[in-house]
Amino acid sequence: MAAEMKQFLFLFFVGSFTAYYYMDVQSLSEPEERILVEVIAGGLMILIVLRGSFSVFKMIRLRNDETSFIQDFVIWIKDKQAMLLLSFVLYVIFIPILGFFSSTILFFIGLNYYLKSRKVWEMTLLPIIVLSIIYLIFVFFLQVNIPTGLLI
Amino acid sequence: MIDVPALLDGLQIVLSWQVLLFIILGLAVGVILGAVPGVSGALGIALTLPLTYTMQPLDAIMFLSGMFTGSVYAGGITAVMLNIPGSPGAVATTLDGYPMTKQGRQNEALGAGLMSSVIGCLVSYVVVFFLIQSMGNFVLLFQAPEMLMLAIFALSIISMIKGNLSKALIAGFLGLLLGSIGATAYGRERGTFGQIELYEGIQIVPALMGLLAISELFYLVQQKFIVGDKTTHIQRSFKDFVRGCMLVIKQKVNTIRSIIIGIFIGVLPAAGATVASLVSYSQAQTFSKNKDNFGKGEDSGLIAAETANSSSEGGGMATMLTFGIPGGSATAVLMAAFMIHGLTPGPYLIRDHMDLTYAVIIGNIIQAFFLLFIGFIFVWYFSKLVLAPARLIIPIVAIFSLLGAFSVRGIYLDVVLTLGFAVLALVMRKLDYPLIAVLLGLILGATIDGEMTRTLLIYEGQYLSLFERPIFTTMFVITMLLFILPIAQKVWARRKEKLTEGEL
Repeated sequence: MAAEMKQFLFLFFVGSFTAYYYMDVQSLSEPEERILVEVIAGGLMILIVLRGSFSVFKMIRLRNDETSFIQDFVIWIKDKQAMLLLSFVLYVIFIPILGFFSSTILFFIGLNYYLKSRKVWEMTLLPIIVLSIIYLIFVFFLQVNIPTGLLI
Repeated sequence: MIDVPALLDGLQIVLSWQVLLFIILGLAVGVILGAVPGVSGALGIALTLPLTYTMQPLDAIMFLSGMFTGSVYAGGITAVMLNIPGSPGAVATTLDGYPMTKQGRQNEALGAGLMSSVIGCLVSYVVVFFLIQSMGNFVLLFQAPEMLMLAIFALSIISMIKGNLSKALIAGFLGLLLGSIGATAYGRERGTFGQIELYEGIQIVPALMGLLAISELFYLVQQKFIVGDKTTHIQRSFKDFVRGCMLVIKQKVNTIRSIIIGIFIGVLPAAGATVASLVSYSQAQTFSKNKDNFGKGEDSGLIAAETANSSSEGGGMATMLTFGIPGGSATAVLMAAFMIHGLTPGPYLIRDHMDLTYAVIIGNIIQAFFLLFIGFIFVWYFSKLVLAPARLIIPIVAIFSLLGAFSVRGIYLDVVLTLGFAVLALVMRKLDYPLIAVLLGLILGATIDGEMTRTLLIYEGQYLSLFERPIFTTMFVITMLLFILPIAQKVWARRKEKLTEGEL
């Protein structure tokens, strides 16, 4: 039941995006601009309806199943994957606020600590080496403008 | 027909210690840059172009060409070791290369990848050497309808993906939808949802980084090393590299077929390494006796992908030299290098500077030999990655992937998109949707959109006359068969299974 609920939710989001995109392209005047999206959206909606119907059918059949979507989600939230995702989200949020190098140091050390690294060189020397290589390749050699913020 | 006096002049130009030194330097720099996630050969060439202003023309061209070859090869290394394709052309390499690494067979995979790159590069330039004029005539036969069918032909891999067919098709269609975001042929915004940065469409590098590189980290965090916890033996010996190299030589049919596919698709502008490697991979799967092993560490899949990826380089170079039409972003920058040094690729280059043309082709053949030695040095060190703990690899890969995505255009939205794709990939993997289908749709969506628009405009109201084009019709029939046959086989196999269960 939980598995089919997840499938159904995913199909719902994909279907919503498809429908929104389809309606968005209707404002384009030339048929050549719309046809690819219309064909793809049409095919995708047919598949979503078929697969979604199958999921609904299975959910009805398994309605007495003891598995719970909410329970699975709560268990996943406590998993390492969720923490890793949270760390990536925070990292991406803080890069334009603090600057790339500052937020990278914090990200590197924080993530290493969470992943149970307790060696001093992994928490100090390694981030410095990695940032030095990044500076050399991206800033010095490739002249890429690294994002800055309040700090570097 | 070979112009012997021009050939002798070309040999004299290229066989100087200076040119050979720049070839080696270019290869080494290309391999280092190509191994950095997110830094493509085109970016590296574009940014080192100003350094070549004071060089002699052939020195500059061979240095940049060496960088291109090195970066194409190195993209395969990261695809095998970290599931991060260094370029879209290496996407097909990840499909079987990374599973081989997870099984502890990374040395074999790296050896096979190296030899595939060397042989693909070498043979393609030898073919270009003899057939450069004929290849030009072949290119002229391919117009918008044929390019459209070629891109759809490449999509046929979706129907061969193991697992649930409806999920593969949903993922493929979703990828096509995402790939269509951006400006239309008329210059109007489509699917940008108010974001001006999406006018150029979703860039491939952020999508690759998110879908493959960062999403893999969510699973790596549950292990101690890249190699699966249940793997008992990890290859550490040089003999395993050699065994991997010998695999390429043993699989003659697969290698030759992949080279032919790579050269002829590489010759077509805008098709390039990506389509070549994907088509080669799908053909290897079609003709293989171990179809079920594809995607689980099948060496013939890796060999097909890498050989075609490297041999498409020769094809792309032939088109650039003959017509002055770049096959992709890297050949476009190489063209700029030619022009900066007073040479304009195209028919006049062939007519007036055939000696230089031969020098470039022979220089690239020599490059392939140097790649073998340089490649062995790098793979020896890269293979040690499997011994590094996952807790160190995860933050480093994440940082380089996000930075690599940012460095494409310098727009922060690309970093956000990378994370978005990573989340999408995590959800899809949990629900057993194949990521490769999304990637295929995303990579080929823009090509299909462009060629479809052109085809519709040219054949407005007379679509049936498309079937008067022999190449289009042949490709249409083959593509339909490639889509329908695997589906029919799956349906038939399922019916047979149900009948057998019923009998039991």
